[in-house]
Amino acid sequence: MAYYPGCSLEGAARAYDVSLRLVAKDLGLELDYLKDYNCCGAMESKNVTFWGTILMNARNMSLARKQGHEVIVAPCNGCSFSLQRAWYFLTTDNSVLTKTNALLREGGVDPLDVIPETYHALEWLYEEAGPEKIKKRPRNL
Amino acid sequence: MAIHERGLVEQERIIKKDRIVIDGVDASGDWNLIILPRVIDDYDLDFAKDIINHPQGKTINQCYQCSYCTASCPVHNYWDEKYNPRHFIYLARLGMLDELQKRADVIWRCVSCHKCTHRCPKGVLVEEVLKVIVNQMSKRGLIEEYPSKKFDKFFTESVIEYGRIEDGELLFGWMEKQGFNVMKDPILKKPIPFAGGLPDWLKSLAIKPLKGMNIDFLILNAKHMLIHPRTQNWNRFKQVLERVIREEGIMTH
Repeated sequence: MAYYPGCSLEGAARAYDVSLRLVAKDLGLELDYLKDYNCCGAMESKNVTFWGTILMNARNMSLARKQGHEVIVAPCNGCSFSLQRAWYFLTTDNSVLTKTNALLREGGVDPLDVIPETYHALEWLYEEAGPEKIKKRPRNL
Repeated sequence: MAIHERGLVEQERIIKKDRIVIDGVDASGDWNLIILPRVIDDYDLDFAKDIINHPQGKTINQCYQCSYCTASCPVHNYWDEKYNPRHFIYLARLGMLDELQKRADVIWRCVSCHKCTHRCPKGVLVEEVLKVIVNQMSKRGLIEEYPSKKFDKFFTESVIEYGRIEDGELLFGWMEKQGFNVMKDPILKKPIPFAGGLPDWLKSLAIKPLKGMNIDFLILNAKHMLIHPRTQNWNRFKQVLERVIREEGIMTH
């Protein structure tokens, strides 16, 4: 499981990052921090550059593959949207995948063999831990 | 034509009479309105081809004009009736560029809520299609640099430069670009968040949460403002990214 916190969780939304790590630890789930990631482009870059945004997200996917993962977890709504959007175009349009892989190779990043799927952190908690397990955890603080 | 879309027809073409008698028959009431026909001869079908050939716009031809997108669009319903996704798709497919150009002041107002894409019964990626229409328009010089694009460009430039963004720099850099006087320290030339000619609402917005903040968090954010977080090994990738964006030519137009 590659954990992609995104720029904002390392800055303004630090509390989200800390609490998610605590919750995951408490539920016995492992988060493998994605090393040396770059910004996903959020909701801004996609409006001015299609290929640039796909490429930025493909780089993150490639890093996840390098760390041996097929699933990425992104807690930020913007990040999970961007990665899922890139996943959609890379899986449905072969010409996008071919061009992206060529560009990744040129940029010194491994091309994508498998395209990792992205889950939002809440989606992931629901799938991995399940509502029953989560229900037992809350304590009176 | 749906009643809420009657505004799409120019007022000069609508003839309405309170009382009308044809050949001695009283035709007043529901049949008192006529829309004059028009002839269109300056269409550009290459425009639609460019959209279909773009990965983002492939689904445009699945549209059967049901107007579900328009019905769910918050911009259409709460901002301006002139913003009409269904109509933009219609115009783009017919290549009626002058009609699109008439709507240049609203066509960029999409807020990316994705309700249209979510609800489309034909699987058209409406949001993506609308973005590609605007991008093709700006590529052809049919629309000037619109307000939302300015921030999109500013944001993307920051990503290209460092690989990551930093909230403080983004916010204060943007305020400076908008003509506000942002005070900077003399040595490092970094903005001082609560000084200078920033609007009061922004100052209070920044100061209010500070009171309840934990000190580690403050130090972290201050550190990020002084030393911009970067992606390592970014340079080679950055060159490819810059080239791709330049070739695409939307940022520069």
